[in-house]
Amino acid sequence: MMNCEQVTRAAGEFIERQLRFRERMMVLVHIAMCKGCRAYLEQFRLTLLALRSLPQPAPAAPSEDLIERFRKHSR
Amino acid sequence: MHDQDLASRLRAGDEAAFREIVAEYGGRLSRLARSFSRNDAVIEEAVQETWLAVIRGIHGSEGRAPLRTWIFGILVNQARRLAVREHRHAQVALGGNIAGGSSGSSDEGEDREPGMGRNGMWVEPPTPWGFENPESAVLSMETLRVIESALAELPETQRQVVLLRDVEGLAAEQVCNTLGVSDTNQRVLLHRGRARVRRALDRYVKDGTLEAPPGTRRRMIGP
Repeated sequence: MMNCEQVTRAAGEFIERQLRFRERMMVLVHIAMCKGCRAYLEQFRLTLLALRSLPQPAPAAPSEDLIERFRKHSR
Repeated sequence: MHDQDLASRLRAGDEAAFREIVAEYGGRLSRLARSFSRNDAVIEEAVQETWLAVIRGIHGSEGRAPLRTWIFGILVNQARRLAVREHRHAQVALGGNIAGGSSGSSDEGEDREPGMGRNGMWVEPPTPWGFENPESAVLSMETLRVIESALAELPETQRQVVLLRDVEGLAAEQVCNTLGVSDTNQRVLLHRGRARVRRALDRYVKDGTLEAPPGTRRRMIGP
């Protein structure tokens, strides 16, 4: 039986479905009974979703010097 | 697929492909370099050195790691080298030792969430955030800004792993190779980093400012 602390540590791998079958089942059994861990896993899932959705930085233009080096090297 | 195509065009000396790669990766490389140094000049130099190494190495890169992983790997090496140099200068200037950047892997007890009892059960369990539409709430620009600043506050190695895994989407194995960390260490750092970001978001939600309509409530920063 997993305790709450073990469930929190397995959060990312549970959400990304990387846990082995047995561990996955242990988490599922635990959260069926534990409201706190259910809330934790849901928050963790949303955190991962947000991290993966961060906007990429604005495009950067290469300096002419860099382009010149590229040209020289490509010749 | 897109990266593969760019890489072969680059090898063929296609200048437009090079411009495209610099445009696409320039800001992302700076963001990663910022986890090695806070000095803008060092960050700029690391990115510049990365592009020069890409130009020099592109012909030998065929069949190696995917373009993205290869470029990030070069950046990490350059940024590390420059950070060490910067550190050495700072030590000389201050005439003493400076504590190294936090590795984030030695602090015991960090894995225990606030509210978690010593027996491994919640004393103060987390409570749901209570959004009607959780996905769109966390994907609002305001929340993403909270996430960005939480990410910027992470100890450097945690930030590097979270950036590469979650933000850049590299596989675990590629992250281990790029940063030169073991799989176990990578997993620990990733979990700690993600857990810290969750806590920052939790604090923000509990402050009650997350779902305020834009411009009506502003979170105060500083005194």
